[in-house]
Amino acid sequence: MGDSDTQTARRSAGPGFDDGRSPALRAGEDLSDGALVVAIGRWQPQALAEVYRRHAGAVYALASRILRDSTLAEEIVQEVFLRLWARPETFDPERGKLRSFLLAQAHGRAVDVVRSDVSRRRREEQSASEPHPGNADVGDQVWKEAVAGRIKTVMAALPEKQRKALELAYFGGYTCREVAIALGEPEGTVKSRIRAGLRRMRAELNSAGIEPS
Amino acid sequence: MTAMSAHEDIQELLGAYALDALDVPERAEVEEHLKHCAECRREVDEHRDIAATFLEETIEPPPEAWEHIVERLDQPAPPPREDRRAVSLRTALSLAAAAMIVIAGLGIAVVALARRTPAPSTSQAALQRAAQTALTAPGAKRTTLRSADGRLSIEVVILPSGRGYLVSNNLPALPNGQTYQLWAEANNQLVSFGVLGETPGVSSFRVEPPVVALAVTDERAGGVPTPTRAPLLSGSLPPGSG
Repeated sequence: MGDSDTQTARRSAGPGFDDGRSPALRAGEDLSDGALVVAIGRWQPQALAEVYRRHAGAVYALASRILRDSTLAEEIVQEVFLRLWARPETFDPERGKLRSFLLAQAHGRAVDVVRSDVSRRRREEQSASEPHPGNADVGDQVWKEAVAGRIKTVMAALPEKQRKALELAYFGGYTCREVAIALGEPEGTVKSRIRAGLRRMRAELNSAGIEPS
Repeated sequence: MTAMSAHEDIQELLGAYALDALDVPERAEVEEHLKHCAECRREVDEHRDIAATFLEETIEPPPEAWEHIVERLDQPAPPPREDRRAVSLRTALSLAAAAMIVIAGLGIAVVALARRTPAPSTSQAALQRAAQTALTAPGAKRTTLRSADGRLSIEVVILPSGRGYLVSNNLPALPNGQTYQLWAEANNQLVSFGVLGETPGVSSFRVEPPVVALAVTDERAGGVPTPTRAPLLSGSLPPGSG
């Protein structure tokens, strides 16, 4: 998703390396995510800045959605990008996209936090289905919106129980056991539904010609 | 399920695993299986790609988030990056700290070793030993980076392989929010070799032609893509190094 993300990132007020003086930076904006991670491996901070510009918005949105707490979400953002800085070799471009990798890291950390007592109590005071009031990037490309619309459509077309299980697990940060209790179903069924839902979404997106992430 | 669980049993868990929805024992079981099952690893990766599409909105983090990241960039003292290929063969699941990381391509890299805490780290101690060994290694060449007035200096040793070390220096500590940054001069341009932190210790880097000289500037924490200041210190590499 490099190009549209980069465009979006350029418009947003990002990290302060964009001082208009640096040819290296402008070159960085044209690099693929994979090339940027290689540059991070060489301790190039401007490469980290560019990756941040491209993906921090998604990481923060996901962490905010799960944690419902902007301070905790911000900590997740810092953790995820500092970890990439310290251990860029944990990202293997052959195993998927950088955005998926960063979001998976953010998800894992956010879920750990959410399962801690303090966060859970705080979160339970709010409705799990309440949409997060984020200032979504309104400058997104029409193309991106179209794709997002398709994903929404595909997700909405999933069997209700698959969709519910996916939402509770992914956005709620609930374990299968908790999802099973919430939905009144056996735990094994929930696990199967989650896998089936993910596979079905993949198939639908593929047949619609949309590459995930 | 036991550790010997059938592949099919594990497969049923992969969706929940990719969404971090398994409890700890099951998660460990899956991770054990993933270590030697490429097919299941691939499926997890696919699930994660799909999951990454669930949230369509992005929210710009507050500016402080990036500022806090920059402040901490030169804080940890990661071990020397030596061999990216060996490291990249590890699966992403391996939580073992990678001891060595890579220097590839131009071979231009430097290890950021500055720490804000005075406690010596094992990696710094290891680097110090490596630098001391290099000083007496066959074919090692020494040079000194100096400030214009000659008061500041950094002792450098470079091995025939191109591996170099900033062995010792008398640089004063910089105020918070600033860092020393090392540059390589190649083809009349300065290329960043990385940040050294506010109190540089022993650092390792690697030079290859066409690098002919090294320079150090003081910059804002996190470093900059191109120097914003005149070099504080500089020095030519000994002929034939790298």
